[in-house]
Amino acid sequence: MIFSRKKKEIIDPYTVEQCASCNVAKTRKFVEGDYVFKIIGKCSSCNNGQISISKIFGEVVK
Amino acid sequence: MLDFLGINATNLLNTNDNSNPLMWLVWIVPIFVFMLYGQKIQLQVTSSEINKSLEKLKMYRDDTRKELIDYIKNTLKPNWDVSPRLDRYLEYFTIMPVDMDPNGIVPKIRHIMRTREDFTREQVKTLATELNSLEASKIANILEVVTTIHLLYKSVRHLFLTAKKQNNFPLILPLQMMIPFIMEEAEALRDAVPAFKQGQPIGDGIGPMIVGKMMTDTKKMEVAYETVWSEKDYEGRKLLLMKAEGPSGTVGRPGEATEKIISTIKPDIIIMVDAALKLEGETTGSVSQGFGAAIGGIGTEKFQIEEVATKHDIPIYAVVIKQSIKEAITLMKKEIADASEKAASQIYDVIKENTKAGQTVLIIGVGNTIGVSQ
Repeated sequence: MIFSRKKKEIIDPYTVEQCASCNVAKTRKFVEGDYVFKIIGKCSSCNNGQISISKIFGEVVK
Repeated sequence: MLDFLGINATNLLNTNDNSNPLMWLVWIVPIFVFMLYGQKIQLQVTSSEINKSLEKLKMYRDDTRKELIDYIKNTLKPNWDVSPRLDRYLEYFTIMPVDMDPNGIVPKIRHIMRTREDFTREQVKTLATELNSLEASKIANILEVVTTIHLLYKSVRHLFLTAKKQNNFPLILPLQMMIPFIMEEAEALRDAVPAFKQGQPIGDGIGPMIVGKMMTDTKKMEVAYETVWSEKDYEGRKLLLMKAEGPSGTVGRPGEATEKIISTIKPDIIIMVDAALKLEGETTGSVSQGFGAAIGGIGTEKFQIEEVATKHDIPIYAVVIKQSIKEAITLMKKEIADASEKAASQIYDVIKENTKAGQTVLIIGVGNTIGVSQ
């Protein structure tokens, strides 16, 4: 519709945690205190690398 | 002459007869009305539209101000009312130096802007005794948002009321043309507040994010106020990496930092990575490459970088990630975050194409580094 009102976008923030060694990535909801390159801990998949936050982004809720 | 007395009631609304006096009046009266009052009618229509936008601007200003006060109350828990002091900040102004003789104006502007920044920072610190730099930067950023919306509101209101007061239609035309852009900026600023409150990265932080990734596992050193740098080797080249110190909401002082680094180590090329405003039709997160200092702001930092690069004959390359004004100051979109790998690969291409092994490259990540460490 030409004259329909523009719907307000709702954007949800997400955090991507990634292992520096095996590159396994996990996306979860953002929690306050998260920041990019924050070190989270040891990787449980490879038991070798360190997991850190690689990205924080917002996605439109559909 | 029209024969008003000889009107035949049956022919009164006869549209086939051009000499019908009533039909003639139906055509002629509006022409006269529009000739005499056309501008006033247009002024009324335009005024009501601008008035609606003005009301919206006022609402945005009040909402963001309330959000700031609530944020300070909830996080810092001051035992006094911060509202009067914040309201005083909103009214602060900056007087630009005289530009009749523009020679040497940039250091004067830098001095005035630094005075304002330092003052604001100190004032924010007085809001609570134990305020860390991250919280202080969040409050300073939100305060900047509220101040800008307040300034937009006051400017629009001034032009609107002047046009109404003078009953001057041409005066309202430039405002009518500008109002959609003003509203777009105001909406973007309003939507930026949640990201600043939660310390989330914004679209403008893509430059610091790309350089920050290159900086991981390197020794970071402070080079200027809220600006860090480190060294790294890449295929026989020495990379000097520089960005604002995150995860605080700051842009650092890249101009001063570049001068300091170049005074000790002269790089062979400079690469600047920044967010750039996309043109209508361009895709968010598209990566472009070019030449020149990719840095926004009032122009003092850009001037400093261009000056030192020219003095030492260092070529400046730019890699930019395209986004809209709203995307630049609100929570980083997935498309922008995903563009970081492509942009990093282009940076490495620029390095390989323009330098040989043994040479040095200075890479500057430009932008607000809120929510992005290094």
